[in-house]
Amino acid sequence: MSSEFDLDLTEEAEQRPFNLPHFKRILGYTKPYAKTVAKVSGLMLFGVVSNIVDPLIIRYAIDEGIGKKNLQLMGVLALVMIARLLAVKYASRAQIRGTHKLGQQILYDLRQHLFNRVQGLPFSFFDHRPVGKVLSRVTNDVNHIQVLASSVILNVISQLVTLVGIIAIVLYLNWRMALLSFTTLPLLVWVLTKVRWSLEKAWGDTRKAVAEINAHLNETVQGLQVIQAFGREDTNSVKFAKGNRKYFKSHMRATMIDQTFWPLTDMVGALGTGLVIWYGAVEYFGGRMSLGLIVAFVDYLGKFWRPINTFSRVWSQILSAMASAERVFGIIDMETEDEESAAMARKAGTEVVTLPRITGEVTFEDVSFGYRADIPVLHDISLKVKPGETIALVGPTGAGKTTIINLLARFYIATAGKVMVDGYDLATAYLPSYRSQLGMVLQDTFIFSGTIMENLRFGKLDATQEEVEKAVEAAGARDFIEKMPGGYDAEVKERGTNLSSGQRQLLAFARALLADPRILILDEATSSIDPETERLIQQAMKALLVGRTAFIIAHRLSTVRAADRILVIDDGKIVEEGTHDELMDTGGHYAQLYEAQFKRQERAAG
Amino acid sequence: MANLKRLLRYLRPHWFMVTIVIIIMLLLTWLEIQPVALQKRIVDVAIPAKDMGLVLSLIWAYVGVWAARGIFNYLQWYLSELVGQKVIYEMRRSIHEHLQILPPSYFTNMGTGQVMSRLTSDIDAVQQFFGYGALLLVQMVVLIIVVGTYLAFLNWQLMLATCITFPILFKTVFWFDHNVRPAWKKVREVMGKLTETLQENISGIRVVKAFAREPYEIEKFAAKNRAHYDANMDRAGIESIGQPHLDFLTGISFVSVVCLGGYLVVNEKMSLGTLLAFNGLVWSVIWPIRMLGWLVNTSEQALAAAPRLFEILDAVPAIRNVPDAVMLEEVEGRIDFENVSFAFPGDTREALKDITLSILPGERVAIVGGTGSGKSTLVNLLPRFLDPTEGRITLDGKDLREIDLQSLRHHIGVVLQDNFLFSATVHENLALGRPDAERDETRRAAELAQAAPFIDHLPRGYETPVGERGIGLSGGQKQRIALARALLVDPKILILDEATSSVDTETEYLIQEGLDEVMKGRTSIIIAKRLSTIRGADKIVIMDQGRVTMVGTHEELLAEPGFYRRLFESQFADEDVEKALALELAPLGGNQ
Repeated sequence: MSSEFDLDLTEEAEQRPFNLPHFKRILGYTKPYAKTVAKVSGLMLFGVVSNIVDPLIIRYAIDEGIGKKNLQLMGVLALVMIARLLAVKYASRAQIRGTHKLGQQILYDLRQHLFNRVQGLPFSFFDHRPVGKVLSRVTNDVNHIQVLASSVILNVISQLVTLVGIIAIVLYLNWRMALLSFTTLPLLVWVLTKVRWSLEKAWGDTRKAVAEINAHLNETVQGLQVIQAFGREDTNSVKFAKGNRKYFKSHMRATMIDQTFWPLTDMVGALGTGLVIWYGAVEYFGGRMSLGLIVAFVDYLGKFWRPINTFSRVWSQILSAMASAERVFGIIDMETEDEESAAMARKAGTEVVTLPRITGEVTFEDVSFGYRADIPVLHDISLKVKPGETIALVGPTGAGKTTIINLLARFYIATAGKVMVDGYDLATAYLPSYRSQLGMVLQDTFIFSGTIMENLRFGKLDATQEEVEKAVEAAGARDFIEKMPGGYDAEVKERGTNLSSGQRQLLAFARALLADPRILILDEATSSIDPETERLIQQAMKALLVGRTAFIIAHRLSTVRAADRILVIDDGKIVEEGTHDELMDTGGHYAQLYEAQFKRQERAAG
Repeated sequence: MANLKRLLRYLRPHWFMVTIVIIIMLLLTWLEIQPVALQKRIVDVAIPAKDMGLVLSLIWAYVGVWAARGIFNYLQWYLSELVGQKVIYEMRRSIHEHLQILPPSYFTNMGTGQVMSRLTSDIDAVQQFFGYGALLLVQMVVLIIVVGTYLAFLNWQLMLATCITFPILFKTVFWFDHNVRPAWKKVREVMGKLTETLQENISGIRVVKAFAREPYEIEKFAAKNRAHYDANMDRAGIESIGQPHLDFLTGISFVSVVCLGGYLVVNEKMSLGTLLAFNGLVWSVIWPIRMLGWLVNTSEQALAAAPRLFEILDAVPAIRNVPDAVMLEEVEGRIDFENVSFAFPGDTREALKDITLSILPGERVAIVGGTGSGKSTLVNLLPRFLDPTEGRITLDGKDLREIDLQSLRHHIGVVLQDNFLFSATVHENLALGRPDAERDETRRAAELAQAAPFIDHLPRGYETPVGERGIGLSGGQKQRIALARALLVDPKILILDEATSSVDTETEYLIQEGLDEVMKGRTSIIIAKRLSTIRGADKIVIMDQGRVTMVGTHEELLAEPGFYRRLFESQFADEDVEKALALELAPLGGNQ
């Protein structure tokens, strides 16, 4: 608990300006699938071409077949049209599959890449960053990028080809009538872009409003007891009514805009059709134009809106992909812990060292550290711990106990000085080789969903049944595990909510014991548990300490007294160190602390 | 059917608008045919007659028809959405209203996930039905019938030929919708699991790193990622079969119109205008068919969702105000349990058995007992989160069941082990029970609960957002905020159910000191495991398996072997016990 974290609660931008390097980088994800891209593009092109020549076939059928009463030709054309339909059917099937495959593969790659990087990121990344934010990078943002890489670009190209193709054809068929029909195009563009823009905004507002309603409902359900206990039902209803009303309004607004969209498009289309028919009729009377041509023109006119509609939509898709790319690439480009080690090694002119089996000797050499450069937390800490020693850290909240442990676990790198284990500098150590020899039992015992067995094997995946049982026995967790329905195979819910806090702790002890670490870090739980479990935990702790170097953030007097050495931390410094008896004799900080605890108990009893 | 009826009943207050919508809908169906009919007249009448004037007036009519269609379309959708949204507004309101009078246990039994899915997806399903599903369904059916009849009237042979593919079209449409929905559902499920795995990984990243488990986690995530890929490709497979096939069938209808129609025109059995009309209108029959599958399914979903909503609406809370409930003005704070027994609904075992206990005004009572001994159940009876199955509880001599619920709860402050904070600022959370509280009042309460120090360290102090969408607080911090928010209400009776269990001993001691101050003249009931908290109580109640086994002061209970003695011993290291006991028994002095 400190003021040293950044408050990352800012609203995220939905769109960002176009950024060419990011755009190129997004396209880079399609590289492994160049073949699929080529195939999909080919199929798309085929679809586009066959789509734009269709009215020509119809025109031919009307003018040459029906107009000239050529039934034979009609038969041939029927076969041609059916053949075209069949070809388009299979082509578009392959194209849909290909596009999805491309998109999903990119999504898989990008998501995995991001996740792998996130796993390697140092602690400073996770500290005080709401889980939801990281979550949304890996779930939503990658999706926006994928859509851009796999379909948006191809779609734009195919619609562009369509548009150019249609324009070319109608100009070729009759350039005067073509130019005439183009006069409605600016109107169409205006409707599609203008209305589309406010439409997207309106639906965006509606989505936000419904998300608010749902969040409120969620809070009402989860906080119902509190609401009822405080008699807040009425205020809560008023608040809900406000959100409900807001949703109603924004939905109606969005609907109204939505309902002007298509009628307006239709109207513009009708205007164009009217013009074509009028001009067509004049030309037809003059014998300069066939009926089939007019029909074909009307058909083509109806094909204009789709490309323009696509273009109007695509820009906002690109911009939102840019916003996502900025966030995702920002994370991917962060330095991982391993890269940090490599950088540290490079700076020191050495190489990253893979640790052999360690004895557990820990040395702090003039270590200073701050989570933020301007606020130092530890000052000049020096410390030498022999293998097998048990060290108790005591001191007031915020003194720096947790920070010392964070440095020992190499969750952070010291800003000055060195933290060393068996003489190896942790800053340049190959982390898996070190952490696999490190055990931690933290206050907030984190249990994963899965079976009890999976949780136990967390630190040693290949542990045999006997090994597991031995660890469980030593940790005093056997009784409760065997009582659970299914025993070792019993399912633990997310975060172990179906276990009591004491049971979670015992499980964490067993988990740590099984991993057989050389160095053990223990943050003693402060929460109260029932006497039986308490005794089990004390025993488990003893078992756990045998033959390992241990650092304990101690809250219990008994733990402190059992330690080989006590470090009293205050204001980021080691102010006293020694055994319980030594420190009591000195009559310094520790003696005061000890007195205070006793006095308190006494007064409570009085 | 009963569900449909009940759903439609929501439309009753809006019958007038519904009628207008239906009239407009019929008008629109008629207008759907007009542009094509006009085109047909241009081709069949005006052009052969070379009557440019007629052509022009028909073109004007053509543009006019589209304008009318636009206007009526707009009107229809506006009105139907208005009705639909009003219905949904009302539905949401009544459900929310009802939520708040149900006991929290109703939702814990149902599972928060289940409740939320009803309140979001199920309401969504009903909203889609009222918003557009029902209207479109009717409109599509009418359109198919009207346009189909018109076309048959124009030329029934050609209509028949066009219809040849319709049975397959129908079949494909329903096949598609039948398969694509489960496929999408699967995608969502898999995505849910991926998110779960991810969330757990990020929340537990400390442990993952401490055990150097990253490679395993990466593999685990990759499996979910793969499953998501597979589910999506399955869905894409169905879509890639469905859509092109539907397009193909639609195309075949057009080909038969052009070719067969052409044959009829060549043989002068039909006019060219009729052919063109067919060409224009066949689409108006086919797209409604293509939409039917989706619409029928939307309606089915709404009908399946409705009973799940009705179930919540129909749930009758067991704990309610009696008709002539007494408003509680002043409270002294005397509480009597008279032969109280309690069993959870559907459970034959009694969680509390025949409890008789008196608590005097201003008394401080500690309740001690093992897990499942009934401590929490006992205190939950006081604010009437539960009602006894037998016996009665009185407050200042009045049966709790005769007191107005809100006024009763107003006088009781409850702080639990696990406290819910709302997504709001710290100040707003503190002021929950007294929204008008001034800044210095909330601060004072926070100081008493030892919450002030950490609040001051938050980035925006009392204005820092907390809760789900704010900064995450530790269990101990949440407990202190909950305590402060209860103190701010200034209740006559305070219940602390392991309210400081996650707070460290130091802070807990300070909280105790603060509470001693505030609790003067108030009745307090404390459930705790730490001896330091229990010791100072006027009365300690020992519970075991739903019964009160012992009542007495710290000294009285310590004198007898039993649960309390064991508890005492366990909280001191072996060698401390004697010393502590000696201290306990020795007259006070020395160290003090």
